[in-house]
Amino acid sequence: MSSSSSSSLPPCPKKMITLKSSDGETFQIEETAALQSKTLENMIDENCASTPIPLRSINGKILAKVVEFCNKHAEVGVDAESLHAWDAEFVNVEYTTLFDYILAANFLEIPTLLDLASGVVGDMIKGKTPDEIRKMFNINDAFSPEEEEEVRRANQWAFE
Amino acid sequence: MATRYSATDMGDLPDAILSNIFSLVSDTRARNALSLVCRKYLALERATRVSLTLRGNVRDLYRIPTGFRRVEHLDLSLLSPWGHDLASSVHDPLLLAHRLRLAFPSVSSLTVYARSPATLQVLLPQWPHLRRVKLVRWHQRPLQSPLGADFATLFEHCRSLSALDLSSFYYYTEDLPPALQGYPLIASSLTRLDLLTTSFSEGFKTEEIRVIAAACGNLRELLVACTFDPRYFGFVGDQALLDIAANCPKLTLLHLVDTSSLSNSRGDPEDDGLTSEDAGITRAALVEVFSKLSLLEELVLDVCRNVRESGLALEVLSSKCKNLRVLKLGQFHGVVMAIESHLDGLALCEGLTSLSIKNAADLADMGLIEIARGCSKLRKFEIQGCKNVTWKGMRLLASLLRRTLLDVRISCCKNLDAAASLRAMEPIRDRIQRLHIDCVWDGLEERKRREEACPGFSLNEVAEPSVPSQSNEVMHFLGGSIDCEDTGRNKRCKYTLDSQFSNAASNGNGFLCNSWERLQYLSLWIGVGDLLTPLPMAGLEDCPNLEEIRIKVEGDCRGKPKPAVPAFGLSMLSCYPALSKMQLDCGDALGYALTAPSGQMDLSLWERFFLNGIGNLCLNELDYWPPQDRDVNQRSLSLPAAGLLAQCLTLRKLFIHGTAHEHFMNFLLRISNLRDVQLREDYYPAPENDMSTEMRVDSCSRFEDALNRRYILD
Repeated sequence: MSSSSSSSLPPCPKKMITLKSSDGETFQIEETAALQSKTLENMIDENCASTPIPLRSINGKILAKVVEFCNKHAEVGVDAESLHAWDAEFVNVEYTTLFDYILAANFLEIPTLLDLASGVVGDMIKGKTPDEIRKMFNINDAFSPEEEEEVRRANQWAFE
Repeated sequence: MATRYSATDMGDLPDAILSNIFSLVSDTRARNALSLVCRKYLALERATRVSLTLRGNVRDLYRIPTGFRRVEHLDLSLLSPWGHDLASSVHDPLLLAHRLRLAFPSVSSLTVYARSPATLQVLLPQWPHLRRVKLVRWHQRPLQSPLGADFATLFEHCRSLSALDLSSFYYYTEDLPPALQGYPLIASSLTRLDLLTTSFSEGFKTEEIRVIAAACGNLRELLVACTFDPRYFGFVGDQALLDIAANCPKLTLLHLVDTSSLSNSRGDPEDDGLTSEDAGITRAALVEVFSKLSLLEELVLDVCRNVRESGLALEVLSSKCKNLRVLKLGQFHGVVMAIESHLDGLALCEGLTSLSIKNAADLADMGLIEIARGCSKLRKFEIQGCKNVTWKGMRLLASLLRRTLLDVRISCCKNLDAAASLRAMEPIRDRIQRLHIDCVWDGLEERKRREEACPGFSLNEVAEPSVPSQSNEVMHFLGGSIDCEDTGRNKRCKYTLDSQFSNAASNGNGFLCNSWERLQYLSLWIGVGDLLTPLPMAGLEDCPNLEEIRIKVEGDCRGKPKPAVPAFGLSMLSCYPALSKMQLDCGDALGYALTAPSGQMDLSLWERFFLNGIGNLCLNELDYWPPQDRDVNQRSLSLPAAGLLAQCLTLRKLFIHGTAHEHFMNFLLRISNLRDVQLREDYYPAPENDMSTEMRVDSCSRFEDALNRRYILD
């Protein structure tokens, strides 16, 4: 999707746009890389990208990483294998940072990053007990014993 | 913790994202855990659970919970008692079917054990919009049911059917074509048809394939079991291939597999790869087929009869089918010419990511290297029954494909015993994820003894007495290619040489790069009477991430002397720390189930030999196929086997592909965390009636009740 829209553009190299994080940091990103974000693409299409774009929900630390991600994925001639390895390294972070990536990717509508980070969170859940998940994600609202027993009984109907 | 006071956590994520994350979790156990976290998670988990394999006893289905309303794929084929007709197992099947519909209103894909058409008659009307159906039947097709009765029922009720899977369904080939002709609208809207039915002895005939192809013109995926042997009536040759190509131009996936290759027994490594008959497949026909089926992405032609000088046809394949990614060729000869550095034939299929070559009589090391140079994107490579290939060729292939290759299967190649196969994989030892080898230990013991005699030498040096000459030969192999390659290739070749040398060097030192760092899955073939214990010595010593192992034991126990040691060697596997899943398939080990002639062991003693030491492993899941006695069609768990299995205290899932006595099964209740146990007679022919001594419906239910009464931690 992103590649087709970027390839349909006339080749005007190094057109940069500026992003501004919630804590005031600014980041330069090539327009071709920024097009991976649906949100930015819309702004570019509506010619709102000539001034720095304020992103109030994303702090500088996270925005820097998001820009890095978009740049990497806009590079041409990267083979799938090494990009995969790069991605794996990119999401090898604390899960709270992962949530920040997810929120940023959701806000900017970058499906590749959203799926990548969501998949990692999904993998983290694997092999954990409900208690461990509650602890990991800071959840306090638990079931009453009767309710829990009912859910447990329903779960018994599924082959693992 | 203190630094994270304002950190984002799961609660900050909007429900839409949470739901997206949940839908990426496919593991049932993880899903069950999620549902137990809190009310919100329960709702989200249930709303994203789209696939469910139903567990439990048919008679309890009246109590089926109604929480799984989003399930789209429902598998009913593993309900207990296994293999029984849903329609005849309960008092009121219609009511049951209705309950199922209420509980799972969104089903569009159904898998069901259809022992008779009656089950389909009851179930199918509940979901009139089914798109995908898989029928399962290991028991024999009911003799009295009229031709095509199962399929007529199916097509009558599923008007929107687009995919039909009959790979595990026992039927006659004559059943299907008339049913497809009788329902032309459904036939023409089918996009996937899987007819790789394992129970066939001869498979579909040319005429039947013609009817199927003519009726199903919109197929995208077609898989057919047939016979290519020209001595049989209706064998598949040029005509059938041309019929398929002419009628189904949209095919992206085509499998034509000879029935003799569906039985998974190993060939004879001494065989020269040439069968006495040639297949009735000409180059002209292949060229025409490949030209017409230009959308092909996956092609399997497992012919089992000679297709000679196939190189030119394969060149057409590479030029016409630009999207081809997966290719398997069985008994194709002359796939490459391997002359100088010129790429030809199969080596021109440069887009391939998965390639399997079986019984290519004239394929040797040079050909293998040409393939590795041409098909440079291979992630998966399988070689089977190629007598002329040696470890040097395989090793060069591995180093040429080092950047992509992750999955290798080497079987039934005379020159590639276990040690040679593992040595060949050294260039990708730190990357390979899945591997199959044959446990043939020729001479390994002897080498070990020599090594012990002179402790100064490392095994690798002894095992590779010709390291210098090997490197020379490597140079020789590559010499030709370096001469007339462009610079890009040159770099790769140089790189290859480097890695060759560094590997040779590390072997000499014996400590560098000895770990199979990413190996997750290992599959082994081993002959009856051989031991598993030399495996680490052959080169598989350090596998820190090996999770799953499949061991296939094959051969005739009858006439074999009593093994000199009491155990096959399973306890050796405890040197792989992450191992948690095992499939132990002794189903093709034959023996005497009852009394053996004097001086020989009966199957219960053989089972003890195979399973001895299994309790030392920390297994989570075990699939076990007991050895069989073909004369009495018995695959039954013996007393020693039950006792040994009961020692696997960490088991959570145990599937026995055979039968067992109830009191043997009760041994298993000692395993405190055992959640799923099932006896599955999923082999052909499944015994019709397990009476008297074997597990009957009642005893099976009693055992499962006892099992489910216990509290299992999630």
